Amino acid sequence: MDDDILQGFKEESLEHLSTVENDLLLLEEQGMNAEVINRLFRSFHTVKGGAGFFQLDDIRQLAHEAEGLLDQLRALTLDLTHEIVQVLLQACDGLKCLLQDQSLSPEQIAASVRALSECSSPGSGPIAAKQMARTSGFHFSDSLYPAFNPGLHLYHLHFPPAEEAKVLKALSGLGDVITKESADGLLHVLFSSVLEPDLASACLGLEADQVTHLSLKADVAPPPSLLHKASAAPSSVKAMDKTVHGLNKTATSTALPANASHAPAKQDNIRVPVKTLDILMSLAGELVLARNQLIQVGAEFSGLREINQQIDLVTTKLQESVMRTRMQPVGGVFNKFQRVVRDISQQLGKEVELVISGSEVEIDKSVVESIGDPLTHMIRNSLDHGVETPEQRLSAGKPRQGRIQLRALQESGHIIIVIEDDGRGMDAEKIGAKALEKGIVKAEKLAQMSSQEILSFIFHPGFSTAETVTSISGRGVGMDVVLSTLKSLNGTVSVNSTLGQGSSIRMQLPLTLSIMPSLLISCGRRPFAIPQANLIRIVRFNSAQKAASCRSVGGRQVVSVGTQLISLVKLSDTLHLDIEASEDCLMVIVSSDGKSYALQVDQILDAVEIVVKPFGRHLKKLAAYGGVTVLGDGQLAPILNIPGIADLQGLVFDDNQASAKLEESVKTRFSYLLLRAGDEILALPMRRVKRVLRRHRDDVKRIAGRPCIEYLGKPLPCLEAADIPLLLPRTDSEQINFIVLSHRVHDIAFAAWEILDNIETEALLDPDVHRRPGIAGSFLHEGVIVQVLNPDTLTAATHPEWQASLLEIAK
Amino acid sequence: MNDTDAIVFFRSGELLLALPCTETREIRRQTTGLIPLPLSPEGVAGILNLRGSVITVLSLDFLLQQDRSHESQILIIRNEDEDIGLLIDEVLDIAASPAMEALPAHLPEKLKRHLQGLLRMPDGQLACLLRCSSLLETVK
Repeated sequence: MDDDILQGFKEESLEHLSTVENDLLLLEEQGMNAEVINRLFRSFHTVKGGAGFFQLDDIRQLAHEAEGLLDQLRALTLDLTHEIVQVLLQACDGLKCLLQDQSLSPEQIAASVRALSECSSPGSGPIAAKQMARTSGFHFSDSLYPAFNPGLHLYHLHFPPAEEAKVLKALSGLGDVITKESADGLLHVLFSSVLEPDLASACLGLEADQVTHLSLKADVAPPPSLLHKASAAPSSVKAMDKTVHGLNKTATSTALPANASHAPAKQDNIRVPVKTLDILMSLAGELVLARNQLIQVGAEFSGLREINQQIDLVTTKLQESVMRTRMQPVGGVFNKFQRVVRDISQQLGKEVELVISGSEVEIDKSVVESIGDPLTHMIRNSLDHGVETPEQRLSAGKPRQGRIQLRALQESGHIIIVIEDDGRGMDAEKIGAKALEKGIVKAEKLAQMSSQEILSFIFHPGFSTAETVTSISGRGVGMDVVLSTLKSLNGTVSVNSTLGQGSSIRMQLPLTLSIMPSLLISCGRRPFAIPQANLIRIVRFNSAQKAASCRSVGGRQVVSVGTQLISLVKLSDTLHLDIEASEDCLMVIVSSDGKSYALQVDQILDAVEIVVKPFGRHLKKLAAYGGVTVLGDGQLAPILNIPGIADLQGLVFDDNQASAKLEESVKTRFSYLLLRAGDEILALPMRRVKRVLRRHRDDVKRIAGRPCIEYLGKPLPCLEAADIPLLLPRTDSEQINFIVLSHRVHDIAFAAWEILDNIETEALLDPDVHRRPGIAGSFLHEGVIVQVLNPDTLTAATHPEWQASLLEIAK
Repeated sequence: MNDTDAIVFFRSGELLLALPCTETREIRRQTTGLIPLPLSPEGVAGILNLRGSVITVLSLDFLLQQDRSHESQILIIRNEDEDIGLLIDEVLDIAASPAMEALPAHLPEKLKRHLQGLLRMPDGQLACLLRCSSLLETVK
């Protein structure tokens, strides 16, 4: 059998099954609907027909039983129940597995078939059984009916064996030979074709009496020599499938319910292999380059300008159209989650509604295919950990039914997908504690992290806070898969959550994978591309700044950028290129997997969107590059692989104890702002402190009952004494010190009692002894116990609306 | 090999070489557009933009372990679904395939393993028929 045809059948069947699933869910939701039942019946029937033709018996049998059940529903001999929908959904799953070449054990198939037949109303039996009882069927000795397709005619041809070659040659191209048998010294052929009966004999080069048109209505049977009496056992599904009458009945019943005509439907879509589209895409890219060259040359010839403009226009449109062919609506992926949510919520005894929006947003096919898994993980997590049981929800004052929203929207060259639930939310403290326990983070670092950063620990491999491992989630695998998939797609993911109110996860994806925004730089007069995803910032130092910021440690260069000391890698050294003489030192700060370093380059050329081309096999192993791209003028620019270059350099660093030690000391020094509050000494992580302001008491205004001070022309909300009793300022002073904190979405200020000092310490934070709301832990500084404030938990209790506004922003 | 297949005859240094046309894609009479790629393995001369796809160009001198010759043309061959450029001195002739003769027994092994046999060129000179598969594996 032709593999392409088989593949086509599988793809088509899977498409049918995806509509089947939605239709079944629709039935369950809205109850009996004749039109939907008919649609389902036709889908299963089509799958069954194809499977029979390809002799995929498991698929055929399963589809057949499902079809029988639907026939009974259609004939109203059976009432639609929840169980029937469930059984049909299972059958649909089984078929999907089989169609995707995943083997099911015979027991699984048998169980599914049994479940289907058990649902049938007693006595009525599957559709084919009824026919069998009514008619005395004949059948070819080989399976014939599945090949039938409404719109085709079926002919029985007979001719002397000597003419076989000639006739078969005439037949080829006109239709399909379904079966061929010799009997009575003649060759009998069952042939399906689009040929009309009055043309058939002439076209096939046979006499009229050698061609019998097997009419659907008139039951004209081929000669008995070719046909066999149907087996006496009416329960045998296999035998029934082979009856000519089975063919007649099912074929007509397929078309009739919808009042559809037998004329083939007008095709609006055609199937094109993705490879063809890829070729078209790359040719369109070529055309763009050729056009650019033409425009350069054409400027010298007067007459060419108009023609060039035209070519320019057409090329651009062509490129856009070709790109569009690869775009698919995300709805295809989104819709399958109705089923996932239904199944899992039932399993967990929860009531959850999935609200989908933005299904029409289109993304590149490859992206669409890759986001299925991450989305599944996240939706499962929301169902399992996020949404509470109806009882819990009611007692929390929420509606009984939980709600998960799946949204897609397009935003300046990116697709944003947001998954949001109104469940119990995530507890940053709990996650932080778990991260500490698992040794993912050190206590000092944790104390300096915002709750959003802490929530991001859920993307860490092996991280799970679920107390129990359920069949749905909680094994700690999943969210890290989400992160790595997103990274491989050049996307990002972030999480927001408010305890008790819900969580939202936001994924940002590029529209297409083949185009990557990059920074074009030059080194040794050659262009190189650095993926935007790796870029942090660009730093230019003049010679004086360079002298002040760049140090040599053990023969290796380090540079201090802001408060950070990072390794400096000269691209020219890495690639053994000569540098262009320059006064200034130009560095691109890059990072990958949290490893950041400065890459010294000669020049920054441009920010470009590049098409990534792979290297041939001889160059694939080069760690320094991730591929190569062709620039607008035809030049080649290798794409720098930032982690690869780090590895190339990292090997050198490992040999160098001095620089390793330097890095270590940078890591473990933390700076704090020390405050006095009554008898206690408090510390704020410097990272969170934006500024210290001094304001007169009368400058503190009250807006809607809340105190505010003016900062950079905007009102800045202040924490009150009532909010944080432990920071109560002295009231007798005219001037008040306000500390401005970066607080996730907006800044906040609070009045400080007395600011003591700004210290750097290597002391380790003890997260346990003094922990309470607002306090992350404590450390010992010059013999005094210092308590470290956690600005997030400080405000969580009194200003929950600041947490909620985060979710607003995610929307 | 079929007798009707055409053969490309070319020169690399002192060596006269041959490849069936079916294994070759095109001849570039100059090396413009060939850019060296830093850190690439020995034997790789650079990369080339061949109508939008980027191909690796190898130095035939290196592959055959000869002294540097005057490589000035690129012969693009097709091997395992990949286009690869070979830097050669010049293409000499394209002719119908003559009968293949055995390699002389005393050829050095390092050269012999990349050759299939000898072919007589229309002007009477002898050219060595290359074995691309083993040749391309030389670059590690």
